[in-house]
Amino acid sequence: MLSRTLKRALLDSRLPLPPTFLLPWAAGLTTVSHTPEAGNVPPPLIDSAQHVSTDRQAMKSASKQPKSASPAHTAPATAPKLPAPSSTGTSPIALSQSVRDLLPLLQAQGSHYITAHIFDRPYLLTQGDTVRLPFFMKDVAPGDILRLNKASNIGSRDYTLKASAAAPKLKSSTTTTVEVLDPTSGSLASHSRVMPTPSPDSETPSSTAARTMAPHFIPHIAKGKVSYLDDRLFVCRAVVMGVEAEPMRVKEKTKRRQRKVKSVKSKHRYTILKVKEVRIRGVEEIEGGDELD
Amino acid sequence: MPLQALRTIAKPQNGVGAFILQCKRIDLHYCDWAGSSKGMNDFLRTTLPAFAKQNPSIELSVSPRPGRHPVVKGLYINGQHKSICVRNMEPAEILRKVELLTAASGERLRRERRPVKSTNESVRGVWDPFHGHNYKI
Repeated sequence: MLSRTLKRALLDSRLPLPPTFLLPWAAGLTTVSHTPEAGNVPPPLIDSAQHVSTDRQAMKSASKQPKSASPAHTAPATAPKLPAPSSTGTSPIALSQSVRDLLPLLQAQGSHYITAHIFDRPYLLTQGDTVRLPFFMKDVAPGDILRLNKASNIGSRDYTLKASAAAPKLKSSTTTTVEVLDPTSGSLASHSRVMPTPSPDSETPSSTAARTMAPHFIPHIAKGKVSYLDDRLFVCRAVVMGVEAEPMRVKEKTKRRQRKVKSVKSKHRYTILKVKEVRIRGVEEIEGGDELD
Repeated sequence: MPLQALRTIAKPQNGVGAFILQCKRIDLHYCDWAGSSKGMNDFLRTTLPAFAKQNPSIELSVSPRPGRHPVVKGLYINGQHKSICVRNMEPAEILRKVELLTAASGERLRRERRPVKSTNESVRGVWDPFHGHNYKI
C-alpha cells in the first residue's frame, strides 16, 4: 500500500473495493456538520478584501521592516510577528473523522492547489503562480504580503478538501415535494408529487427535507453559491508584485447618420500578486488553535 | 542502470522567497527657466525627500536638463526604460507618476486574457482515458 497510490489500488481487480470514505474522488471531506442546528450555523463570512484591509496595515508595517534591512538573513530574526488571521467562528474547529483520517494523506502528497476567492472570484493557484487581478487594489505597495483566507477547494493529486455545501435557501415549499411511485397493481407506472410528512420535532418540513439531505451540488439550486473552507485549515500568502497597465484602448462612440464620432480612451491598471505559499495545516496544528502562522 | 540525479538549477521566483523591486533607478530632470518645470521644481524640494526615504532600494538621480520639459525616467532590472513627461503638472500629480514607475515592471504593456500564470505542472495530472474518469469529485 505504501508504494502504490490509492487510485491504482482501486483499479486493481484483485483487491476488494475499499469503503466509500476512502475513495479519492468520492471523498467528501467536511469540516462542519451537515445538520444546521441553532448553534452550528456558521456566522456570515466577511469579505476577504475587507478582512485583508484590517490586517494589511499591520502587515505593511511588518513587511516594510524586512525590506529595508539589507542582508536577508537578519530579516527573519528582526521581523515582527505577523498578526493572526481572524477566523470565521470563535468556536473551536470541529473536524470530522474523515478529515482526521485523510488530511495527513492530503498533506503528504507533493504538490497542492487551492481555489482561492478574491472578491468571490475563484483563482486556481499553486505556489509560485502570478495572478493578475481584474482590478487595481488601493493602499497596497509592492512587497506587501496578503493573506488569502477565502478558499473553496484545496487539493493534491488524489485528494480534495471541499467545504460542505451551503444549505439551499428554498423559498418555495413545492421544491421540497418528492416524487413518489404510486403503488399500482397494473403495469402502468404512476408518479405523484407529495409533501413529506412533517416530522415530530420542531423543524419545518421544508428545512428538514432539503437541508439534511443537501448533497454536494445541485446545479439549479446552488447556482452561483460557493461555500468556503474554514480558514484555519490552510495558509495561503501572496505578495504584491506591482501594478500593470493594459495598452491604451479607444472606443469610438457614434450613432447612425451622425458624423460626430466621440473617442473614449481607457487604460486600466491591474494589481499583480505572486503566490508565496500554499500550505495545509496538520490536524494537531488546527486543533491546537495555534494561530501564529 | 544506477540511479542518476537530475541536473537542474534553481528556478528564480521573485516574491516567493524574497521580494526584489523591479524598478532600480529613477532619473528626474528639471529646468530652472522653463515654466512647465515649476511643479517639478516644487516636487523636488518638498515631496522627493520623503519618497526617497520610503523607498531606499531605488536609486534616485536629480539633474538639470535646461531648456526642456521636465521628465521622470525609470530604469528596470530587465534593462528597459519608462519615461514620463511631467510638464505643467502639480507635485501631487508628479508623485503619482513616480509611484506608477515604482510599481511597474519593465515589461511591455500587454493585455492578459488569463488571470493566472503558472510554470508548475498540473497538480492532478494530465487526463488520460484509462484512469479515473468514472469518478467525480
